[in-house]
Amino acid sequence: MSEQTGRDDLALRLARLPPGRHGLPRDFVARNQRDRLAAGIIAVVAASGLNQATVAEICAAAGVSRRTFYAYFSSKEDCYLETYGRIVEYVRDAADEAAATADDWPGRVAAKLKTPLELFAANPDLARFSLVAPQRAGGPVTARYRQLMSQAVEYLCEGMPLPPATRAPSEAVGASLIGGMVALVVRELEEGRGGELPRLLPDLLELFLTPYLGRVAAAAAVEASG
Amino acid sequence: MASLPDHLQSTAVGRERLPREIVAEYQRDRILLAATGVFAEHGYPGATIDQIVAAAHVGVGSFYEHFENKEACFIAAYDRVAASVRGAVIAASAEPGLWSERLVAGLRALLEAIEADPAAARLALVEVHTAGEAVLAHHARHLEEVADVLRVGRSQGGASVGLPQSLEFATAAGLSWYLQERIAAGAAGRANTLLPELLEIVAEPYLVA
Repeated sequence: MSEQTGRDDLALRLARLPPGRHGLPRDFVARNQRDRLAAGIIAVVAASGLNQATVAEICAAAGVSRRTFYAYFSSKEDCYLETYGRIVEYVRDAADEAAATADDWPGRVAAKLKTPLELFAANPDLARFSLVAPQRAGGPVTARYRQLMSQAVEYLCEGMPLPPATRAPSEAVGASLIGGMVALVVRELEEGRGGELPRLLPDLLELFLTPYLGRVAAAAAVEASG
Repeated sequence: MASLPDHLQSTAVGRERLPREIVAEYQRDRILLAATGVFAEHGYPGATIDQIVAAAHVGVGSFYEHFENKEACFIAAYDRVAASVRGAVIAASAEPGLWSERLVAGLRALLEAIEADPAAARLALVEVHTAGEAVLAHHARHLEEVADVLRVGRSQGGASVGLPQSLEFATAAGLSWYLQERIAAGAAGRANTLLPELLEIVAEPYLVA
């Protein structure tokens, strides 16, 4: 269950440790403080958004002092972006691992979509932090989010068979697809159905694959994934 | 106490009130126009009421006569832009014709509105996401409305059986996302060139076999 270990590594396991040094070696405590700050900012930003969140709230949620916060990060945006980077890396690793067992491109797309849906369903705070908050923050955080969304399209398209086996929609279609898929996920979160996100998989898969494969092949791939 | 004849009383009051309302309306419009520019330039989180009143050449007191706070001003500015673009799109697509022709006319009107006023476009499609829950609810209603209009395509295309129920919402939100990305990249001033891409996003799902 490396997936479980990875998920824990995402500051979530350590977040459950009570604050303090616990007599642990210094570098472990440092790592632990950083992880607790990651867990703290995830909780606070998920609840109130990045612009409303304060460093004091993040510190309180993490159980560390302001001084400690500023030893690691220059600002809440800095803390946000680093934590976001760790989440993206984790989701990507888990998705790579899941996709490795699929035997064709549509199967890999299904695995890559299923991974975040399951992860976010298990932890809706992570979904709010990763998909809702950065769109609402503005500035460099939203700019980073836009960049990541365009990378997500490239990631899903990796290893796609070349035309004529696939159609070649414009880049605009890819951008619209990722925007639309995220909007569907966000709508579920807003309506309190974050725990049921994996139910979106067949629709997301069909929406995404259709422009590349055509409807018949896309429908067959959705059938195969279920 | 002696009173004035009726015809003198009523007209005097009426004459005084009308211009004041017009002045107030004009002033509110001027603030909203200035606010649109300020929000587009500095972003909602960074924009201040001081910047808005300076750009509108009105006093802070006048601002608060019309708006409770920055958020209320943003919502009013968004609604003003959205109503105007909505009207233009509806008028353009109401001309009789094939579904595809009306779709092209509606999308062209949307892109023309973006190109004609990049600041308004930035306010309504980019900054709207950063201005709080209330205005996002207005935006979400517009997306739902667009989705309802697009759903007509199901009876027009050759491949409409068995499409996912969520297709139109995803298309409307995807379109909004794509435009946001283009506008953020500074492409609002040449929005008209995006018509083929918009058509591909909106119409392809109903036409592809």
